[in-house]
Amino acid sequence: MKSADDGTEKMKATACSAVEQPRDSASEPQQQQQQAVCSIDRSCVQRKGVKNVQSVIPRNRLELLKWNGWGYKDSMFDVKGDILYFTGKRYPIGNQTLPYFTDWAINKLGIDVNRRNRAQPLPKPSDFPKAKVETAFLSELKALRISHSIAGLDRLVRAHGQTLHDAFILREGAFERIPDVVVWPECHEDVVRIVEVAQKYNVVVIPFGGGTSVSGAVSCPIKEQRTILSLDTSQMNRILWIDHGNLVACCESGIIGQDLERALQAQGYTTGHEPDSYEFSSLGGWVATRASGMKKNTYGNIEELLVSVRFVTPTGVLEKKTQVPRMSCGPDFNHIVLGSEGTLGVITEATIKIRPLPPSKKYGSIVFPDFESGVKCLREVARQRLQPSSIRLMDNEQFKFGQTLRPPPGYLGLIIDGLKRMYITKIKGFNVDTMCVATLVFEGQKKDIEHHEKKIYAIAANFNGIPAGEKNGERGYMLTFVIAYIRDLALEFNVVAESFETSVPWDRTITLCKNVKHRIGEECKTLGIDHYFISCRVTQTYDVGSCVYFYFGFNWTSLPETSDPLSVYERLEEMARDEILASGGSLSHHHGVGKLRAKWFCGQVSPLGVQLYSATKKQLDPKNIFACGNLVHIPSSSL
Amino acid sequence: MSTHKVTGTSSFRNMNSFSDILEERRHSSDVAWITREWNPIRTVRDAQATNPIDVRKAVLNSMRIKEVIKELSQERGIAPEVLYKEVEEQLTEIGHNRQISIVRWIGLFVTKVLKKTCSNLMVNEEAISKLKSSMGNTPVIFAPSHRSYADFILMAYICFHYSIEIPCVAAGVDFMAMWLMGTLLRDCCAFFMRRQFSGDKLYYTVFSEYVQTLICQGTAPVEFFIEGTRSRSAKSLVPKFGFLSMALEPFLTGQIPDVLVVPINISYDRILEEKLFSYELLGVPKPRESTSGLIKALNALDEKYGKIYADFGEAISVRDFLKSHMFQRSSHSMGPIHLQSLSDQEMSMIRILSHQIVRSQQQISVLSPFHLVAVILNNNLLTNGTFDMQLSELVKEVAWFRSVIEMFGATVDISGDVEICVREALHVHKSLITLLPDGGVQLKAVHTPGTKVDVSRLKGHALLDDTMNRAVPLLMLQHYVNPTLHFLANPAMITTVMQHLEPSGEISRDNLFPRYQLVRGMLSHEFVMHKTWEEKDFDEALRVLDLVNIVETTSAGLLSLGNHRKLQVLLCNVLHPFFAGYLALSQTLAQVCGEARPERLVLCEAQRRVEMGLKSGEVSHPAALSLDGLSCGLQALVSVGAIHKIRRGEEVLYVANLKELKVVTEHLETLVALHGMDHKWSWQQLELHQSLPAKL
Repeated sequence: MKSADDGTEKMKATACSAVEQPRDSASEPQQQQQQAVCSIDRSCVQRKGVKNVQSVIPRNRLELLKWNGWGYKDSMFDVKGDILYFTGKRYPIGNQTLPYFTDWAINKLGIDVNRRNRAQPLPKPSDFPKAKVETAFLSELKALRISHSIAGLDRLVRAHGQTLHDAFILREGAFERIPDVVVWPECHEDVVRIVEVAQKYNVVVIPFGGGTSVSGAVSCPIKEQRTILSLDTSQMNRILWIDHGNLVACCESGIIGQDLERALQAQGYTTGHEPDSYEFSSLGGWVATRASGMKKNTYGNIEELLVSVRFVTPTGVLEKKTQVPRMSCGPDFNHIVLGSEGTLGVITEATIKIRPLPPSKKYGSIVFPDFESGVKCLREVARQRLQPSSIRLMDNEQFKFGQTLRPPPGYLGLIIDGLKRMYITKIKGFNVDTMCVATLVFEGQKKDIEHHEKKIYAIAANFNGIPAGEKNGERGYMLTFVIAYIRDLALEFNVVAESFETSVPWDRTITLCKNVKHRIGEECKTLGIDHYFISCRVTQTYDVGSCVYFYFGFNWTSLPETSDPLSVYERLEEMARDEILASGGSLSHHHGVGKLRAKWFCGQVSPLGVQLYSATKKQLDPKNIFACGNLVHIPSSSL
Repeated sequence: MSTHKVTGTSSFRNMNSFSDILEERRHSSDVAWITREWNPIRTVRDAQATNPIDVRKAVLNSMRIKEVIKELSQERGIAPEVLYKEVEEQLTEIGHNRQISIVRWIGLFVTKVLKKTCSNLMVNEEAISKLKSSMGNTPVIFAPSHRSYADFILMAYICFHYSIEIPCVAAGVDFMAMWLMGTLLRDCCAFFMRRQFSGDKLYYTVFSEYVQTLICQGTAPVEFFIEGTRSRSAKSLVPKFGFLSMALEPFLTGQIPDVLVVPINISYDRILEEKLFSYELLGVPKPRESTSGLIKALNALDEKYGKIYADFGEAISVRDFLKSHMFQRSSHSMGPIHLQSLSDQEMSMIRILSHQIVRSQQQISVLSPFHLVAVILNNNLLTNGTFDMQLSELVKEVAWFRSVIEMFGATVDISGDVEICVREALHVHKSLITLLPDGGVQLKAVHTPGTKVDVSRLKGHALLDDTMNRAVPLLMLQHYVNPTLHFLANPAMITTVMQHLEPSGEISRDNLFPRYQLVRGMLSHEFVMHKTWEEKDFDEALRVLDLVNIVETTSAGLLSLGNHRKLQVLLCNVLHPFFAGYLALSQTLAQVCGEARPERLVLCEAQRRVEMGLKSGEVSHPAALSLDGLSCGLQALVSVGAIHKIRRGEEVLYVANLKELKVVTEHLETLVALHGMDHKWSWQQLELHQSLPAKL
């Protein structure tokens, strides 16, 4: 096993095992750089077979990531002259001008490339609210040698996730409440101690992983009077062991998706868990929110990947004492942890399934004359349980949008494009304004993939679907990661946008999509919003239904002065959610409830469900230390 | 966001938004118009079932039909194929057709007939253009009032005129049996509904799936008559919920995002069926629908029918309606869609909505001068005991009453000189009212004495010839009084109650309200008033009564009657026949319903009692003979608990709750006794103008 360690892991291991001079932060109390205490000489650090993983994301996140937007600092949409382009080299469309996309943004969203709203600059240290924290509490942390910080910027970075609300506030306003202190535990035992001290000092703990939440889960409750501590798990990112015989790996919860994959792939494994946020989101976050990965058809969603979990609560550590494939042993308490959204405790370690890397991977795509045909095809594929690793269906809006995210083709490219278009529209009789595309990912043995492809395309043919090549498929998946960057661009041009998702039985999938689009369209009409974009895609298929993902954005220039675009958006999203529920959809398929959707929680799980949850909460966290307020708003007095 | 105005007083309307769509036809080629290129606006642009064959196919392939066939074939031991065949036959019976060429031919014929018989066909064009602008991506239901067979034709005609897709209209199967007519209606997008089918599961499933397919996947408005049948009395009927709940189920179960319901009113200066209706109300049944009957009826087309008014009310978004009632959809997430059924709460919402639709129909009705003439003549009869009136007097009274009823929210089509309008109205109605050369106005004898009536087919009591002679024309007149009552009923109830106050004549608002509630409870079926609007209606009525000086507020903050005596009398008079009928009914019930009695017997007996009352002078108006009115009375007595309704198979029986009935009877007695009103009218004195014997 040692031989498998790569250089970076070794480096990290050395850095961590070396005893660093503990810096006494008390001697530099008002310093704005991180007031951290690094303490290494602890029993938890070294265990046999532990893989230290060098994360791509440094502890000071802002070295790599934007402080007020999505993703890497070097990757964003920008304007050159009158044309939009994408910066950086991380993604395939990097450094390419995008004239079609520019036209699309102008026509569809009514943007004016010459009128740009610049975001406010990074706040000055004096701009942050003073940290409300007892010195005694900080001293305890110091005594425990747990690195921590009360620097404004550290606290701000952990005060939010990636909702539209968060992005908006970061660009134009200020959060009413941010954490008072940030801690970076380095192992399970650190977390146990932190929770103990927090319990002792009645300090609120909000776990923070990758910071990609889109449910308001890590935001600080505005009315919280107690000290709020943000527990950043990023420094707990080791792979503690890999069990080759049983194909499981035990990891610390702070490890982020891309690090985990890179480290496992170096050893010939994969988790196969690829949520769209996997570049930045963490294992603990996946478990806490019941995440779903793109390739769940092959590998399963997080609840199927999870074998066991260590969960630190104010009243103790919840964990299974065996590592077995399944057991009949009363209720499965993994499911208390899954979806707990930081309200009951902190996940410190998780044992998950791993798989050998597939020998071959292939993309594919199918065009359908309309969305209905596409959904019917996906339903049939699911009925026969023939799903490839991933199968997704974009609607016409998204299909058209996807076509714009590319550089202008060369001379020959134009001809080929023209021919393809001719074939689809003239010969096959597809309407450019109704057709849509499904994208596919196959994994496995080359021969099996070929066989599988044939079956899928045969089913598609019954629904008038035509295979449209690997390129289109691959582009589709690449775009998934790039689309996340569009919102930051949009915000600069008076456009607010957000995504939301649901799961829905098959027989209601089409009507749900139609209803939500209809509702949004009607409401935009009444509000006098001329430019808006509402689009959906079916991103997952199951035996009993599907997952539908919506994008919605609008240009607020035409709104009256008095109305605030953010609250208009939130109201519209709320209406869309009401429509989803009335159409037979769920509150969430994988984003979670957080604070954003808490008002509908009871309706989904029944009042008794809420009581059962509250009873659990009372048992695990009687003082409401984990008071982030997700799922159910619990007034502290009731506990 | 868009808070839809679902209840509330009608916004100010005037006749300026109306245009006469016959005007153009009188100056240009009918053929050119009828053969013009026609690209109608559709309800849902991208809907799937664009023609009747698609609809049929969609129904046949629906999950619901498949499941019900599976279930019934097991239950009854019949092969599914047999049941499928039955479904196909039923679909053939139900299914509409859409033959635009037939629509055009009929349109041509209708144009000719309308131009000959009617002076104007007034349509609210502003409302139409508003409606058209809201069409395109939401299913639309047209809910017109139903006063005449002409409603069917006029709706299609108006839609053709304004290039709106011809509505798929629900018609009774009795039309289908008519030679040629059935086919023609079908070609003009009518689909057919059996009268009774709640017991037939297969038919019920097929029919409701048909309706729901039209709603969810169709491109045409779905039209139905919420009152279920033509109102013989010209008053709104208590709405039926069956069809509407069927049509709204897809929305309530989340299959479509919204439905727009458009209340429509078609008001007639004179109704083709006026005489038939009077006979029907008295118990002489209508002839069966037959083509020869229709051709006979075409003879009636030599007559003049004046103006017709069609108005399209503001479309009610069912979503907004539910939202305004704080109602959450989302209770149908469990189980397959075809197994969903509506909850009690949903049904009660539909009930409120139905009432709302009817009220909206009332609010957008147009009163023609003759309606006002009828009120004045009727009032004259009840006050002065004579029908005769001088034209000059009549004109004066109509002008006065017009200003009153406009204040009560009605739209009256009188412009320019009132006398000219009244003369025109009398001319249109010359078969009922005679304008004598000396300027006197008289009611005509329209009943032919000795007309053979098939007693076995009578629905009520066999009335004497003498009674019929007087009752038929008076009921015809009442037919034109009735549309005004929707504007008068609430103020009239309050006025009646205040007539009967203790000597002080003063009462507080809070004490008046329960008394009003009591009276309203009795009349809510008669005038289609939903319980939830009580308070609002009460306050609105008090507001207008204050404006017209009927109710005044004393210095102590109490309410008392003002000095507008003339209007007080009129308002009391309009309700009087109803109270008289109800009183006779409750007296009858007390007498015969000690044990359960069938409905027909009760109605016969009540009619007999009214007839006796008319003779003895106890009852002063034959409108109390109306079977529709007596049936409303039965429903009202059921709802206040004075009698109980028992269903035994097809038969409906009533049994009295004598204690409660006594209380109600006493209350009615006080309402009928007209304090301080000098009543000279006696039935026996009524003199009718005898002209040529009118034919039935």
